[in-house]
Amino acid sequence: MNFSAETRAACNTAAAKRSYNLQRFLDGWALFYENPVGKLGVFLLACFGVMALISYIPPLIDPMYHPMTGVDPWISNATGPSAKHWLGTDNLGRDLFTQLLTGARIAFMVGISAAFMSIVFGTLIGMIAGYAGRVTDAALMRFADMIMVMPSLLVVLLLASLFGQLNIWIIVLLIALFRWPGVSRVIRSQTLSLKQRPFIDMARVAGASHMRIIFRHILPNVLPMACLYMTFRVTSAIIVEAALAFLGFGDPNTVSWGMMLQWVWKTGHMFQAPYWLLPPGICISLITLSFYLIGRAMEEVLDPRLRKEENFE
Amino acid sequence: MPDTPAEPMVQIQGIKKTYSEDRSLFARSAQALTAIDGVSLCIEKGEVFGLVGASGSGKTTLGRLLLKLEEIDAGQIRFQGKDISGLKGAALKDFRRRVQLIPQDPYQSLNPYMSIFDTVAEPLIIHGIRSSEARRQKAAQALDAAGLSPAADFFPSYPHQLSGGQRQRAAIARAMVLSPEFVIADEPTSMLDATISFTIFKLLADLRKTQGVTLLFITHDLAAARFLCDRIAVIYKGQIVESGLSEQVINNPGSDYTRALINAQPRFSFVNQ
Ligand SMILES: Nc1ncnc2c1ncn2[C@@H]1O[C@H](COP(=O)(O)OP(=O)(O)OP(=O)(O)O)[C@@H](O)[C@H]1O
Ligand SMILES: [Mg+2]
Repeated sequence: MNFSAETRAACNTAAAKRSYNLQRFLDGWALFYENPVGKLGVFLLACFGVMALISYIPPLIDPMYHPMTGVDPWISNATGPSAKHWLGTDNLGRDLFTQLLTGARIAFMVGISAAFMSIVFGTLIGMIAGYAGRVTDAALMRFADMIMVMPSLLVVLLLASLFGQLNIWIIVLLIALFRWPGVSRVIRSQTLSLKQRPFIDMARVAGASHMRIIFRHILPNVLPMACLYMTFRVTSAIIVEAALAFLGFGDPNTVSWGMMLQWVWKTGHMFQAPYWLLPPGICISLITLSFYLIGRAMEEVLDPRLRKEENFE
Repeated sequence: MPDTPAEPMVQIQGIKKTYSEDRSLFARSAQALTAIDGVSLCIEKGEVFGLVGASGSGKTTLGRLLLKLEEIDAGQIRFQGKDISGLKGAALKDFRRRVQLIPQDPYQSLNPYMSIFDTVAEPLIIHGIRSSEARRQKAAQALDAAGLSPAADFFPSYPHQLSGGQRQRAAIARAMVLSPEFVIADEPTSMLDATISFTIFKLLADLRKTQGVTLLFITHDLAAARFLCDRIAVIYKGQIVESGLSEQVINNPGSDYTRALINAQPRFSFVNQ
């Protein structure tokens, strides 16, 4: 992050000195927000955030609007949009609009928790492999390669058919377990170059333990990259969950967009009820797009080589 | 062995360090590079010992071996009479408290994500100073002694907010905060300009006087070595070519290499006319 002379001077003289991290964050954020890609991503994500938040409201208004158990007593087949049901109802008379709102909540839950877990695994394993080197490194990276080449969807399907319906948290855990290797490779290579930096030697000279070096000295330096990868992992987690649900291996007790698609398909409304098919499909595409855009914009902030060169003539 | 009252701080006997370059797949000839080739030295308690040599002569490598950042291939290093090669656990930690480094590059040797207070207080945490009040006090003392005062003003700063000279002072404060007995300063001013360098040299001389620390001063600058050191050794291609009292070595160089080094010193003379 580039600091102008004024920022630097301000930092030194201002009574309340902003921490380096906060300053870096704010500078990065300004750069991020200048980027139309980042702006669009944030805007889309905000829309989904609002959807997820207001998903709690309809069931409070009328239990009929409960996404899972609420059934309109007057409707017993799929109907199109109306004043009472803005997007229509499914074949049981459940309101599609509340299902869609709830789907946003589930997407966030699945996407963020699976991504967070895979980032935690990936960062830990990457730092350990890069720092320890030698046999540990080789073993961990071969293990990561093995998981990376495994067809994850197939394995999850296999598990689902072996153990019956999977709970949504099990699905989240499985996604996380399959998605850490990419992260750990990146973090490992960052750790390898950090390990050569003199401040790591200085920590050793001071008598710091390996734990301390990894968590106090290496972790803060790889954290920005880990955050970047988190946005990409959210995207892939949402897609995997949707695919599983659509194929009929989702958690039947949650209303995710993938589940909605599965219900359209299973009840044979695929081509009869576009008001039922399209909204969840569009939502899945847009939410993955928004995380992807945010990731791309973040990448530009983090990687100076991708940054638009304003200072060069 | 006889326990003489003035035991040397460091005794080095015939140490060797070889880097094998067989890392690359394509380098068929596994070339070995001997960075340190049979060096023997003795650094007395309380003195400033200068290690002078041109770039690539093995000065940093020797420092790293003394700090046990790397292991020697042959020979022996004794610190306060004890062989350091087998140090582990508590003994190694004790060694780490007694021996410190002032780094070459102040821009690279402070963690950019750690404030100056955290940087200076880290050795205190590592070596078990529990009370945060005591840590604040010691860190403040160390920063003051290193010429960063008022210390409290520098506590919340981050390395990028300081100038090169200030960073080097922070690094010196970190090295001195545990009152080490032996400090290695590896070209501490090679990244700084001449005036700042001079103030850093004066600071080191002061620290030696007030804290009685033994200093190994690594430099390629004979003038600095003469200013600061009691004795100097000249290193060339991993071997000591000459050593003795600094005045003596500089005024009557005994080896061609030292003479070349003296003649290579830049002289700035103003032509009058
Ligand atoms: N980790 C390493 N791997 C391989 N070779 C090394 C390594 N470290 C140092 N060397 C080699 O050892 C020799 C001595 O290097 P060293 O860094 O000790 O020199 P120096 O005297 O400190 O030089 P300078 O004044 O430039 O800092 C050099 O030829 C260098 O290439
Ligand atoms: Mg060097």
